[in-house]
Amino acid sequence: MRPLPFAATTALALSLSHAALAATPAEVVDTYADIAEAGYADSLSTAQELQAAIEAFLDAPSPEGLDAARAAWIASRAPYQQTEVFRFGNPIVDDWEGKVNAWPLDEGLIDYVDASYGGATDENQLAALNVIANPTLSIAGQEVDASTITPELIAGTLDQADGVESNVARGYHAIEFLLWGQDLNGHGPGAGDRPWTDYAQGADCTNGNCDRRADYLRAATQLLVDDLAWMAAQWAEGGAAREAVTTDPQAGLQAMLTGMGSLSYGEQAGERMRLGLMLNDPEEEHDCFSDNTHNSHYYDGLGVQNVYLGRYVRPDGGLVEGPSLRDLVADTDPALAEEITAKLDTTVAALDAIRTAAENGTAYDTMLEAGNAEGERLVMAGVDGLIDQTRSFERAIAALGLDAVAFEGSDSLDNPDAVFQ
Amino acid sequence: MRLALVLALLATPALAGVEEVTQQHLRPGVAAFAEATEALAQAARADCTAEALRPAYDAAWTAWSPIADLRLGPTEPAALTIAYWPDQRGAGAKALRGLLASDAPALRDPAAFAEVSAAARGFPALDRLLGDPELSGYGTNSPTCTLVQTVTADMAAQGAALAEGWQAEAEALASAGEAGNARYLTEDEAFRALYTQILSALEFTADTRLGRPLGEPGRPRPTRAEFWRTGRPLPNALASAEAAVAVAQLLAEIPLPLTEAALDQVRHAAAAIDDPTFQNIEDPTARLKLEILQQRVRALLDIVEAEVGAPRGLQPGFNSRDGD
Amino acid sequence: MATRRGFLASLLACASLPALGWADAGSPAVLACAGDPDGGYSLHGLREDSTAAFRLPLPARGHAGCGHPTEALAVAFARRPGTYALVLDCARGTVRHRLSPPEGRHFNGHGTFLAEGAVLATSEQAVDTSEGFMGLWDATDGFRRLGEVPTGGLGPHDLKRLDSGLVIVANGGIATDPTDRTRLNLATMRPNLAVLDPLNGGAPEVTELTPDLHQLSIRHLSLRDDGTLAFAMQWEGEPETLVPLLGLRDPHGTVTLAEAPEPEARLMQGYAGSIAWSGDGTEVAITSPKGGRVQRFDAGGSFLGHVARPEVCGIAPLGRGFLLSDGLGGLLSVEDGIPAPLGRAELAWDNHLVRL
Repeated sequence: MRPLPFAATTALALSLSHAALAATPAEVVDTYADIAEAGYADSLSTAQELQAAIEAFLDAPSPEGLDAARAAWIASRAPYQQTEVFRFGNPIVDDWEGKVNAWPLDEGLIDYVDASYGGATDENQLAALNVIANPTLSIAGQEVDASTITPELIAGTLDQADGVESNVARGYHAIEFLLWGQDLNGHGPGAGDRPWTDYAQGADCTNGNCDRRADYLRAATQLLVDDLAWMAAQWAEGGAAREAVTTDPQAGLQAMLTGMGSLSYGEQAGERMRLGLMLNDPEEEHDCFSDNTHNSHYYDGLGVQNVYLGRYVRPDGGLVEGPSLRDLVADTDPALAEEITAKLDTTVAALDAIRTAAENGTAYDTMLEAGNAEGERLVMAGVDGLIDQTRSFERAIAALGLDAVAFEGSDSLDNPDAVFQ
Repeated sequence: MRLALVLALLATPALAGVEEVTQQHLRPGVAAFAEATEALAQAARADCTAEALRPAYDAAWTAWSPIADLRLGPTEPAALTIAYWPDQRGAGAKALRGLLASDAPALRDPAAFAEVSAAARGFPALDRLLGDPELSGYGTNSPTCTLVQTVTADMAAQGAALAEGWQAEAEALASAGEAGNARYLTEDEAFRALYTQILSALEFTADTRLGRPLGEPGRPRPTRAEFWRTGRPLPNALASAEAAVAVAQLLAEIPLPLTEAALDQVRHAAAAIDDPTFQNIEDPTARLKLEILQQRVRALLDIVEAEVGAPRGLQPGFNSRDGD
Repeated sequence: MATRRGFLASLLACASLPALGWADAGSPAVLACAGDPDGGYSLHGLREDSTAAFRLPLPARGHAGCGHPTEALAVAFARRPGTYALVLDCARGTVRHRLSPPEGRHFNGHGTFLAEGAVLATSEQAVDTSEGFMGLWDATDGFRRLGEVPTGGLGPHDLKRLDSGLVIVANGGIATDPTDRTRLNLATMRPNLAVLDPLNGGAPEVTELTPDLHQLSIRHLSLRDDGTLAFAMQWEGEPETLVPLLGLRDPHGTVTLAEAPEPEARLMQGYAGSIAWSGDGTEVAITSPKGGRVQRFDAGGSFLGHVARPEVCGIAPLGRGFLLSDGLGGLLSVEDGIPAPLGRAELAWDNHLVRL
């Protein structure tokens, strides 16, 4: 009996001193919400820069102006893609996400398309509606006055028109299409090649309706800015999204890991990367008009790492940092904490290799081409890393004892007998 | 006619119904389809243009419809490669566009063509090529003409293979319950197999052939009708009901007055429909008429269950409706 | 052996009765559950020549889970939600034990004996979360609960003992509503094959399919003598998508997926209900009651051919080939792809045949 009190005292002392260093769930979810707040604020500010570039271009259309707008769009994607990790696990984000990042789209709804696109499909009567060319529209038997293209028209009438999901009229990818146009190069090099004169006013206008095209681009950009402002507010002090994760830190931790795992696995590794490789289909790339998919994938992966490390580098180089999920996992299982850190590094490096290859001339869509072994190897390295890290996230969920939390208060736990009645 | 049928039933043993379906409906059905597709292929070789080909195309449908929904043995896979529908992803249209823009062997070689997506073979392909105004204006020396000849040659090959492959199934049905028959262990199983096909056909017609264009409340979807470009929606729906009842009459050993009356109701409802392509169902009256047709087909289904299935104590499957 | 109606009304037999072997139960080769024409249910033992070795009434529709390797004991599970399992003495025609899962768990219809029959392993899931567990029961001591091991996935289904003593489990990946079996997580489901250590538990070694196939539920298993595992799957994704329904996992853990060419593949309707290696181990077959179809593949996963048979589901090795059972009461043999009828009973065979 004698050694026991001694041992117990020591253990108590150890755990006390440890507690002073360790992160608490409340602190960790605070960091999470801080990163989300900063991420959406940066998405908003870069979208505002995009808006300024587009206004400048539309005011005085020129090749340089279009290039500047395209560059601003690409810059705006960097912070936004890092927020995708907040989508899964946070219903408030998931419900909203379709407004800004819906994909894929039947782009013929918005503007002219190449003959190879085909017309209306049997499933989507509006697949070639071409709002820009038609001031009066017929949608599901209703005549619609589209003589003025406004954010209200796009949000209220055109987006998801006729109950068809691929009628995407708003968000990053609608704007992307308006800046780049269709990528008609198949697996060959090159992105969409919309001429700047599509926005030239008067006699220089190409492809018709340049005034309406400019109106559409303006309105869609305004909607994007408004939507991002709304989401940034949800994560600010007192915002609903912040409250949802901080009120119950355990549930917040669950949201964090759910988001990390779901984005890594089903969404990014599955839908966005491996499926395109299997189908060898260049349309199966996320940013298909701009050929910016390599950046999208990279920043998605970086976002997952941010959440884990409790650390986000803003576009201006500023740092948002705090007690992290990594600290919390290390508290229970230091080896697991390091394992996850290493796997995230591996994945980010693999995604960076895709990005580097793309920037050196091997565009993502050419990597999807059948028989491109090197492309397949690069993409699969990313996929493998994403899958591998997801497994470790699951172990973290178990290590943190989060499973039971999610189901607290469910009928079947409170009243198991009810299940068998 | 009714009297003759009753006498025939009284005079023959229990298996008569199955045998009659085989001998009087299915065997002539697959033979007629083989002939009709051969004629279609010949017609396409003689003059591939859309207008010239339409009579042979419609004749092929007339031959296919009576057997289209009786998916037993070789007609099971054939139903997919001859009349794939619905194609919700538009895979057929996409594959055809791709083929026409290419110089792939499948464009002119029926054997290579047999490897393309099922959604781009058979009737679905012809519905597009002959019925889509953007495609159907092709001339005799065009890639589209070549593709039409390839599609019809593939259909003729499939028709011939079906007629040949059907023999084994016909023999299995005829010898149901005899020693060594591993397909139908009892006469009752052959009856049940045919009966199940009748119900599935009527269900498919009500829910899918008519249900898809009817769409959601307040939102008809005319272009989701079956092969509407070539005018097939109403003829196919009606032919499906006619075929179901024809088989039920041959199969049952008792007169089916209620089933016949229900079929008459289906015919009346079909006759009231002005546009066989269903492309007018944005109009409330047209939509209502289509809904009535759907209800009549559902009523026919219920009556076949009561008049043909119930006396035999037939119930839904033990395993197929209860997954694990 | 005559029908033994009324046995269930008798008292549970004492656990210390002398053990009787399968020879005392008429030497069955295969166990099968069935629905009877009068609305009742029964468990059947079938001999190699497909004649009946025994027949026991069951209180409800059941799944033939597994048979003891030496003693004439069969474990039958109640249909989902599996709130109980019965250990049936097939020689005496009595219920030896009634197993109830721990509170908050239910059985998932499959089990297997370990340690030469000393331990029964059952697949179970948590009622509220569908999280999987392998329950362990002491067959030498009245089927006392010994403990459990997490299966490393949701909705575990079939499980098999490997030669290494480890157990491989098919985690179907589907979370179900405890009351009505509604699938709750189709968008995020992630089935896997997990290798468990029944003694030490710990994290199972898990094999997953690629993420694009994450809606392909792995459910039933068949193990060949050399350790090659065949698994049958059910597609929960978009119905128009064609996916492989058969997987093969060699003893080194390398997985090959197999599918028939179109349109044959489509006729299974995305559903494989049962699976078995042939008696000589050269073929593997999957069955689809929805499609009324059996598809045969060679050991490398190449498609060999099909057998059409309405309501077909149960399959087990027989002779060099297979034994099939169906919902119409039929029993068929298949050798070299050629089906031959063995008999038809006035009953409906349940989904599985269990080879003893």
